[in-house]
Amino acid sequence: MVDVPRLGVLWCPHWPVAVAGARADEPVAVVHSNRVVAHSVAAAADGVALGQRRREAQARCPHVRIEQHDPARDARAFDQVVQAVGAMVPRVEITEPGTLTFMARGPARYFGGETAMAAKVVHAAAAAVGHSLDAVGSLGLGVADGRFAAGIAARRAAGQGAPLVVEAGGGATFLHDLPVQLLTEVAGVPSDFVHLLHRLGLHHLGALAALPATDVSARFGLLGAFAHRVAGGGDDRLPGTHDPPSGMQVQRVFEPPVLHSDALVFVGRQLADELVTTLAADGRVCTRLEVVAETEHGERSERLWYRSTGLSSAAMVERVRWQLDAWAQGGDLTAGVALLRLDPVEVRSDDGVQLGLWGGRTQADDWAVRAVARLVAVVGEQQVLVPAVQGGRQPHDTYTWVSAATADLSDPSERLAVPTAPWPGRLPAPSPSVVHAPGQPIAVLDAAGRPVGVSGRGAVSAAPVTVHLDGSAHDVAGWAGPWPVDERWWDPARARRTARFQVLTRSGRLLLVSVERGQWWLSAEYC
Amino acid sequence: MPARVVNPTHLSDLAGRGLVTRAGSSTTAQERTLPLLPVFSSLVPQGAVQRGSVMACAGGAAVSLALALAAGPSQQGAWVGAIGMATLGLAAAAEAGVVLERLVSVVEPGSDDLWADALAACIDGFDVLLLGPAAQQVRAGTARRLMARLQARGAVAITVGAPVFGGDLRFECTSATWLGLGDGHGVAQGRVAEVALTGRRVPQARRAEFWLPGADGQVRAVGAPATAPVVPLRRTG
Repeated sequence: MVDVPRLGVLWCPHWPVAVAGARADEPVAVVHSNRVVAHSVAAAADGVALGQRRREAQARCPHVRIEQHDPARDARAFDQVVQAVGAMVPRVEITEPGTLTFMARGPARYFGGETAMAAKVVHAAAAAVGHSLDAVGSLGLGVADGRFAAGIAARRAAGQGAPLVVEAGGGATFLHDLPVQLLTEVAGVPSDFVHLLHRLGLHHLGALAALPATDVSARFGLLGAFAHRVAGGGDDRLPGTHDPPSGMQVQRVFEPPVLHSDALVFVGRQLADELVTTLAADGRVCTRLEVVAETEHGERSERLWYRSTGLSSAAMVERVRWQLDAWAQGGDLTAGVALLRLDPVEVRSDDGVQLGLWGGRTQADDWAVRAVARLVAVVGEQQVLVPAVQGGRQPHDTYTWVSAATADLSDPSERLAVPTAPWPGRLPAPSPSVVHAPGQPIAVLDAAGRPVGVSGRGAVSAAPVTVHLDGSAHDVAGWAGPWPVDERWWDPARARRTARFQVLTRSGRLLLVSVERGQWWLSAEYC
Repeated sequence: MPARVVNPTHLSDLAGRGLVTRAGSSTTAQERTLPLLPVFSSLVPQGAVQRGSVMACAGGAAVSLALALAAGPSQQGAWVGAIGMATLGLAAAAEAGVVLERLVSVVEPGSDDLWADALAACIDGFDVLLLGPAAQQVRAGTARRLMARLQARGAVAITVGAPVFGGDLRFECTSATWLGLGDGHGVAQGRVAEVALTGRRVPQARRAEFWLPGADGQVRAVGAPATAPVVPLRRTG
């Protein structure tokens, strides 16, 4: 077996909640795209769990404070911990805000044993945390063979309040009785794979590790082989991981030095694109990246960033921004930045993890993404929009437009995920090709010239005969409705009671109109 | 400016010395066209549109027609940039077959200069441009320069209510009838629209009837095109 590196993992449970400033005993949940990604201890006591929908969390715990996920803020806040730990051990790598990893062998020798080293590191880190951790527990530090075992050890250490050291070679024993869900929580294995393991009766990592490796590999492919290897305490680096040949790094020297963080991030984007293109030409992807920035007075910021699925260009830029923001916030900068360098420290062969829904990226996709960046620069980010699924009964609710500057253009699967259930009450296809949001006020009159009304029980006062629209009257040739909608009746501020009609004018225009509290609106048109 | 150095490996230099024929003759017809939805083969010659051309849509079903025309290239991997179409119905676009993953909308650039810059960026980045009525405010000279750039880049433009951009192929919806709607009952189930095609490369006006849109929102053919030769029924047996 390849020798597995001895790693230390420092883990802060639910770091985003701590950064959100949760008091002890205060139920707080941090949500990202409507799913809970972190919660406080008090919230967990009421039944809030990771992955829940926001509404579900609020149902379990009505007084929970909901905070939006902001990885940039989390990363800035975490930088103090990274600095404190970085002063004691070399090569600290940030896996994500709230988790950092370092090589344990050297520091353990220096500090006189792994237990002593772990106690010292945790102490230093706890002193550096700028936020109260009362609401989430305490920092956990685990030392073990490999990232997976060390990550689990850190989680257990956080639970028991003291560092946990798993002795070398003892990984398999340590993992033996632990549940397979940890594969999802710590190693990022898809949850449906773990469900499958459960259905097969493999509830513990030991049971999975006891199976013959070849059988697991034959049944589940690469993913199964990976899960089997880490469950047995083996190396959790994916095959094909290696150090890149030297000279892969890209850097830019600024003359004169740059003071604006936006300008630096812009250059960072160019460097990241360059690096990703070079690596992709060899069929490789960067999993660990070192970002170095230096001012002209010699101040230096150096951070290692890790992502097991590989860092895309956008992910690299995000990390450059986090690092620069945290550095600027630290307040010890005296001059402009003179050097920015991205150095891939670990690469692996790209097995296509990041491919989009429609397969690989094409030349047209690259051009389009570049054009979007240019458009945002020309007309502003509020003017350049891409579609996103929202869901709803009204024509302007089904899809919405979101700013292209913040949307992920290369992976739209989340933005355009097909809803799993239909919306009862939405109109059937064909949908209107022109949607007015907000609607335009119009008048719909009956034969006597009175406005047509709809009663609370959905009865129409008289058949519509004319529609006044754009200052002219249109005769009605056909109509259908009313289709009443009573939306959000539980929320007085956002409640809407409308009735929709399709109206065909004699000139051949088909309109979708709606009436709300006696006022008629043109909501869409079938052009 | 330094004198231009002749690069012995550059195609244009080789072409200048007669070593390589011009690209036009060697590229296949497929590379110079963008495919439309198969249903349009009854109306548009070869069912494909030349790169660099402008398709103008007019009449009652113009927006649905424009979406259906954009759907073909979009399904083949082209990106669609919609400019000046702030009211575009996304559900209708998706039903018509436009791939929303590759749709970008530019709402309203503002001044003429910004329009020119934004349209130039769109032409460089997207294969299909959907130009809405708001694009009509672009000055004629600007529009001409942009369309020259469109030809050089090999994109196509589909316009709705923006005649300033001209039109190599003019689609006009001459008659449209909605079906399914009664007097106080029913629901609109589809529209039968007759579309006439005229243009520079179309010697004789062509007509075809479509469900635009059909009951599922897609465009479908209704019978054969009116210009097709009528084959008389033959007695058998």
